[in-house]
Amino acid sequence: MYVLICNLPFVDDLKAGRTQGEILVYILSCFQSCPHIVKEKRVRAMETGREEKIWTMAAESSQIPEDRAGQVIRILPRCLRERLRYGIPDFGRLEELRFRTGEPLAAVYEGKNRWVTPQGVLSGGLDDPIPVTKEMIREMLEYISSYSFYAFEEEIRQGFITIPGGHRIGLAGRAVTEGGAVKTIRHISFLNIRLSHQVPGCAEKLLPFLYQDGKIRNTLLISPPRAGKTTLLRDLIRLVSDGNAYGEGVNTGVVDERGELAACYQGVPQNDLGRRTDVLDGCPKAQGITMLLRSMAPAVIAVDELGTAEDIRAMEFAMNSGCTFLATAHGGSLEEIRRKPLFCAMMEAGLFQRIGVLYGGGCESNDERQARGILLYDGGFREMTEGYLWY
Amino acid sequence: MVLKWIGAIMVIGSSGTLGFYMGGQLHRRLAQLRAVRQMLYMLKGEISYSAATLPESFAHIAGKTPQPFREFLERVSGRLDALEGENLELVWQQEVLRIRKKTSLTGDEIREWEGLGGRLGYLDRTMQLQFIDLFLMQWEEKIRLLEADCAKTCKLYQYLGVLAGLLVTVVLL
Repeated sequence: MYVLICNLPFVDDLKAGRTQGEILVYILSCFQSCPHIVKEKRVRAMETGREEKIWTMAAESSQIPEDRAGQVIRILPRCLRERLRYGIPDFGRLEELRFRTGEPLAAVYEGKNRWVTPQGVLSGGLDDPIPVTKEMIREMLEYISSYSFYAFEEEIRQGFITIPGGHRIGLAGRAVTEGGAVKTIRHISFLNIRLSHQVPGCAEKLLPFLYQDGKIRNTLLISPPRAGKTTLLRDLIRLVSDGNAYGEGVNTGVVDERGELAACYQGVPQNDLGRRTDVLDGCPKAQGITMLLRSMAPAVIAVDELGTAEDIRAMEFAMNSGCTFLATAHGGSLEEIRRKPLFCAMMEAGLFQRIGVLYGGGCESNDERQARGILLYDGGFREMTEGYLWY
Repeated sequence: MVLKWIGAIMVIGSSGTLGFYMGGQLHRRLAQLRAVRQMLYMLKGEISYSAATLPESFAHIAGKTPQPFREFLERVSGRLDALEGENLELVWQQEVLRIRKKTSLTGDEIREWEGLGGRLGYLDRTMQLQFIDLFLMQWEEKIRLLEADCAKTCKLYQYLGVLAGLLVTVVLL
């Protein structure tokens, strides 16, 4: 067995803190990804009479699981796959993996910034980080785009690609512009894998406030970035679509312009948005609202991040046609939103009967992130909850 | 004497069969060149109309393509879809080599077909379509030349086969 192990890199480091079984599986899977080494080692393994056992284990270990970990591992460069597969303790707690050419591979794990060591272990220090190379980025782009860069031109223009599982890959490099608009991104040197984050049930506590006479009210969720408004809206859509204790399930339409709500992959939502939900993926909100209204007859329409006058106009039109709206907007407080010219008239007209202001954005630690609350107001800006409603 | 006649018939028969086989191969080659052309037209459609990814396009096209290219497309699509860390060019080359024995294409044609894999995937849509157009243009030329010669060459092979058998028979008798 020593013959098999001795020529491989990282083995000494791997030995630290690993069981023999884990080391063996890692080494064997390395063999399988390097046929030229395998051939040589196979001959030697035959001498010991253990070839069959070794190959069985190697085949088993190289199979990528179909879970959340597998979805991410599949798009990683081959040289990192096994290291991260065994190095990251729980992919459920991994939030981001950041690849910057020439810089160490970084991760955000449980809300904390970490570096990835050559053994795939997450470390707080920068002693021995694994450097990201151009080749790694090139290889990853091949996998992310399913070997078809041309098929993701629009996504590249927008700066991200969604992969199975709803995980989003942010791209950055040199932007090529034409007529003032971004045409494409060349020399992509930065990738950010943001793992999708669903929190089923997080909107349940809000339901008694959002429903009236068995019908959901027009609701606007306001928060600064990273406070969880999209996550909350996603769960709200699911609950409204499937039905809940306060109202029956209704046909729900989602205009997912940035692909953050449904995280569609080849048109199929990767996040659970409920059984009665139709998703218009990648479509501008204003156009999408009108299209859904005409084609899918939704009782409720949901959109993320209202931002332009066209969006507001299309929404007003849909509301006047009898649709209920669930929407989000960027903002720090109710006052801030009311002062914005874009929202001012709409808010004063009382288009939204429920307004939720979220608390908990930009927190670094996981403990703080869990402590999220919302202040709910009615259309007349009267507080409905006594203080924050924690969820 | 009877044995001599039996031998003569066998010689003429086998060389004639060889001639007919060679002629048939030519027809098969033409049919396969056309199948590749059809496959590329469909790939162009998938790319330009639905902007489908290559594994997706290959899977769609496979159902409408004759063997052995169906098998080729299904295998390439499956291997790419699995995202096992393989390189498109390499997968393409390996699968072309795998089916080459099942085709009647010439060595040059196989090499060109093999080289196509290295030009797929990394370009933008316009360039990708232009490249396929260029490849199709060269392929069309091959088809045109073969179509012009096929009937003549096919007859030639058949006559040569039978005549070679007669010659051998005469020499041996």
